[in-house]
Amino acid sequence: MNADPTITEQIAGLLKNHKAFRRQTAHIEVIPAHKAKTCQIKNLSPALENYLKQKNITPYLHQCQTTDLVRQGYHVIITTSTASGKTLAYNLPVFETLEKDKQATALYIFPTKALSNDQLRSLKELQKITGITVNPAIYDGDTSSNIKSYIRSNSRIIITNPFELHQILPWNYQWIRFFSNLKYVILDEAHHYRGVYGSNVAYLLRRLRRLLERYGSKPQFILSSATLANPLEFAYKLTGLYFKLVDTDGSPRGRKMFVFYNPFFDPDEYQTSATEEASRLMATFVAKGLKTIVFTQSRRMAELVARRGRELLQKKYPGLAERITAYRAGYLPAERRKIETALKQGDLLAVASTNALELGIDIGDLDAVIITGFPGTIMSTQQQAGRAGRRATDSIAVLVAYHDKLDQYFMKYPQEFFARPYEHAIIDTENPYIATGHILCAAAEMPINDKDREFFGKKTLENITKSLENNKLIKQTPRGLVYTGKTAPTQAVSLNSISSETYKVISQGKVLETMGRAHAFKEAHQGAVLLHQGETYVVTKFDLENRLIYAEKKNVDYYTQPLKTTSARILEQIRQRKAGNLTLYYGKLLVTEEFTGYKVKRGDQVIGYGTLELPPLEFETKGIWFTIDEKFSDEIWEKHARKKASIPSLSAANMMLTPKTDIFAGGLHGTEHALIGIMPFLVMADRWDLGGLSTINHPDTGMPTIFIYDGFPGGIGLTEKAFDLFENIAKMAYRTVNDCQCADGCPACIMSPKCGSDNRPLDKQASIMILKHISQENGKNA
Amino acid sequence: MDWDDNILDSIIRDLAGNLDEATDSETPVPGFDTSSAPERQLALALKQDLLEKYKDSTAIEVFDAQEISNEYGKCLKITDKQDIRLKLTDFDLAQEKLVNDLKLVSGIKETREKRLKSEGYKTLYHLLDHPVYGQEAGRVVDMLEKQDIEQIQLLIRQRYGAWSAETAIYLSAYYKPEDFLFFDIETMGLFHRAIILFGFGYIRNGQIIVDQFLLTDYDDEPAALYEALKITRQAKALVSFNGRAFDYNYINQRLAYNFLPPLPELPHFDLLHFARKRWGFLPDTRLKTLERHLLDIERSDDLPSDMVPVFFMEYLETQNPGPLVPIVTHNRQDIVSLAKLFAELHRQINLES
Repeated sequence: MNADPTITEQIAGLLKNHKAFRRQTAHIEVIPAHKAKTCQIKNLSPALENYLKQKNITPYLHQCQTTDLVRQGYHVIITTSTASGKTLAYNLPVFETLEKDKQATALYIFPTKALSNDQLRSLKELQKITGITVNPAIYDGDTSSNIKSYIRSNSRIIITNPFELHQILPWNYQWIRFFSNLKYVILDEAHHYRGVYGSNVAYLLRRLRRLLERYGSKPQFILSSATLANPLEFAYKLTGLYFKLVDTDGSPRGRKMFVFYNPFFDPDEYQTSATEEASRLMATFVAKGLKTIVFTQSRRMAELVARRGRELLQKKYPGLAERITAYRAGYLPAERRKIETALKQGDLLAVASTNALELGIDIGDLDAVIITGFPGTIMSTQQQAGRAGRRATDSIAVLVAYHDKLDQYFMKYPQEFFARPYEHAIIDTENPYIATGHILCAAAEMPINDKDREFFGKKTLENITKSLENNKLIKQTPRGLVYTGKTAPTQAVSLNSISSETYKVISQGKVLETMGRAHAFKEAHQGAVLLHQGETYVVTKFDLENRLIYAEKKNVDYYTQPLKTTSARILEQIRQRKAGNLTLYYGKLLVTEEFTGYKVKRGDQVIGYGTLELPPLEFETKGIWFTIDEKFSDEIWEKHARKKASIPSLSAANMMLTPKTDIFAGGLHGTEHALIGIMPFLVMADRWDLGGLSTINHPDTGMPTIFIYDGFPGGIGLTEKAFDLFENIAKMAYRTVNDCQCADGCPACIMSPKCGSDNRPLDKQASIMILKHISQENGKNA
Repeated sequence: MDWDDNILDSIIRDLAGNLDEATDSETPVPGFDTSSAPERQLALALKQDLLEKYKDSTAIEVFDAQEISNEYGKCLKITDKQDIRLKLTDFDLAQEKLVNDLKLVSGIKETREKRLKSEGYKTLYHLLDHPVYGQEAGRVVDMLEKQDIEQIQLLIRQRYGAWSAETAIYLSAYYKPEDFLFFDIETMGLFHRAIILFGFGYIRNGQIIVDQFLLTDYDDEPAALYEALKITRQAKALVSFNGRAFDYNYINQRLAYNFLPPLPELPHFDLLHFARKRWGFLPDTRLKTLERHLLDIERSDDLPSDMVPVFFMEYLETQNPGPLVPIVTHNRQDIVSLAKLFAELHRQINLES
């Protein structure tokens, strides 16, 4: 079923003009259709030519370019759009090599199971039609141990994921055949490997490469990724190799209406919610016969939207109401398969889903996508939007905004969303926690010697091996440094966290999960409501000494939010530069976070408080900071704040600040929030990945200072990148707050949902003045 | 990397703590016993006694060991021998059992075997004339006549889905007692760490000779591995207790880690699997339990496998050979018990016919 062009136009008209929608509709971007750019791949073998002919494929430009570059021996990263045929782009050169060299092998690394299954199907088909025998197989945690040995000795294309690879590497000797003939490593959806997870994967790939070198192979890497601002830098940091970029998309596109939809158009009296608006949009689309998916950010919301959508249609179109469903992780696999099939066959018309319905799960072509809340990155927004109109037909995508900084920023500046890519995927190979864990794993896989400097860096390797040796985890022998610790290191090194002391969460005598210290303090403290696989648990006891957390499964309709005090000391200044009116610093910080209590909330309402007695968490990390001249507080006071003098704020009373200082502090605090809130637009990160601190007098600078730091011990490269991009961040933050129509600050500008000091003090006017000051180019007024 | 040693040390202390708490395997590994708390206490007390008893001696003196060197370094070799009686299953009996097993032919399971036998196809040789199974039977007969034991073991594994089918043990009757190499290792854990002691037993003139290769330091591992490789290359078949899953793979992993070639691929009789079948009625099928019930062997001062690393580290730190004593004794007893258990298995088979 394809959306008739007139239907999408009708809908666009409806959203623009009908009184039920027009105030919410902030912008409609019409992305015009474009034709396919095709080409011929020269000298393809008859088997592959025949495959293309039989499947009626004329290669797109980026597919030819990829084959071309791979043939020349380059590592290649492909960043064309969702559903543009990236898979074929790398499968062609891989099969070409595997046809010529009957021993050659290729390793495919996928981030999700659904994608692995999807890939296995297409590889089997390629094998069948071309007659090139590669015995493709998935090798992961679900593979039965009976057939693992068969796969290792017979498959020429093995599909796995980073977690399995982490377990495989210590057994490298069993992979001699596969590894010594390895010609390609494919990393699909490589943008998944960023932040802490990505930095771990970067070390995992270095471990792989050093073992491969031992077996005499230097495979070519082919990466596919969503569009990034820094694809080549990213590919280099992830693999340690230099890449060529393929980014001209040759695939055809249908016209797409991209609607920016803002339930919070009137900040003072909005009476609707993102959930309600998404349900209404879904009902409207379904009534027009459009096959629709609604992406939600929680399982509960998926259920709510589906239920509400059915309700809205019930009266007029009872037949259609039945064709709406929810879909989420937590449903039984059989149930999920049933929904997928019903969607694919058109029995179901609409589904509300969390991102559990991920890429790779085939539900056929869609006409419309509704995205509830900015998913955190433009990249994933585009990927979700790309699920509609995968063929050359018309489609609609709607981004329903939350009352949050980036959501609201895009509602005001939609053109920025569609401009060149801004988002940088960050990988940090300097984090000492990650480096140490993986170098220890490497030592257990093959003795470490000087040759390994090439993979881990000379200084990193020397410093870490020296400390590991002092602590008797490795030992120098004539073979090199060998592992001598207890238990296999891969058991103690996790790919998606920074290793620290671990805490066990126990429910009904069973270990529910393990978590690092910081995570445990923040989210599993006494009294906390803990989410685990969609179920809520309440922490009944936090045993600090034995690092055990006891939790009870309980259905509660409230949640908890920790309160904390933060302090930071400057340990070392690494870099500094002029940024407009400011001198910006980057360096090492000692951050102390003390969790003092928590709020109990239902929706936005605070229904209670609890106190906590936990020792302060201290960690070294990296961050940026700058100072503001104290005289600036006079300026603020003069220009904007006099009227407030008569109403000292609650926090001022508490902290015994003068009203003038209180307003200034509120400005610094608001500035800090705005900067952190906007940063993920340029540096891909969760807002939880960054921490901040603002103070009217810092002991190390002797001045009013704002700090923003990486929220992980050792730092993860986020603020290092922000140091370079600071002018952009400051400008965007200024615009966000200055243009916000709220009176005294709201989540869309200076309030932060994760603020440990409960968003106090805050002052919007002072924030705007400070943001204006720091985003000015040197000597000029913005 | 611009972090100072203090932070690296604190990172590593956390990491070491996690290594302490992590477990290598969720499920117990046969042949690698985990100690209970009281056993642990007992073992630690024993360690103290041993440290006292052997405080002024060296490993060479205590074990009457010999320091040997090869191109990969040096290690200690300890040799010991004792009487053993191993009478293998009568060759004709074994042959008969094998050719009577029609289930070796692809497509034949128990019920079909019964029917075929009632139709007069009593052996694989009879089956050669069968219109459907004739060709496949010919392949199996061919293997048996060529005495291609490794291939037949693989076939049994395929046909029965396990190495443990009774039929598999009859294959060992194709050998002389001198052909077997009994082996067992002591390790610093479950894979990925050093093997500190290799034990090998072989039979000469009615005696079992046990050669053990012991590390005096991690540096010695390549040399000991090389000795293990040499001795294995001279064997015709291997006998172990859970060696298929554990010892054999472990040695290969360490050989690869130390840039040495893998063990030869040999027919391998893993008694754990036969024991589970034949002696499953005993409280459990750990070697210790089997030897107590079947061989009347009672050990004193035995060391659970997971205490081996603790004892060996103590030796490394103090250079006092005391903690090595129970490791060496335990390993030697394992080899001897293994050979005696093998003999017992054959004795029972011979008796039954």
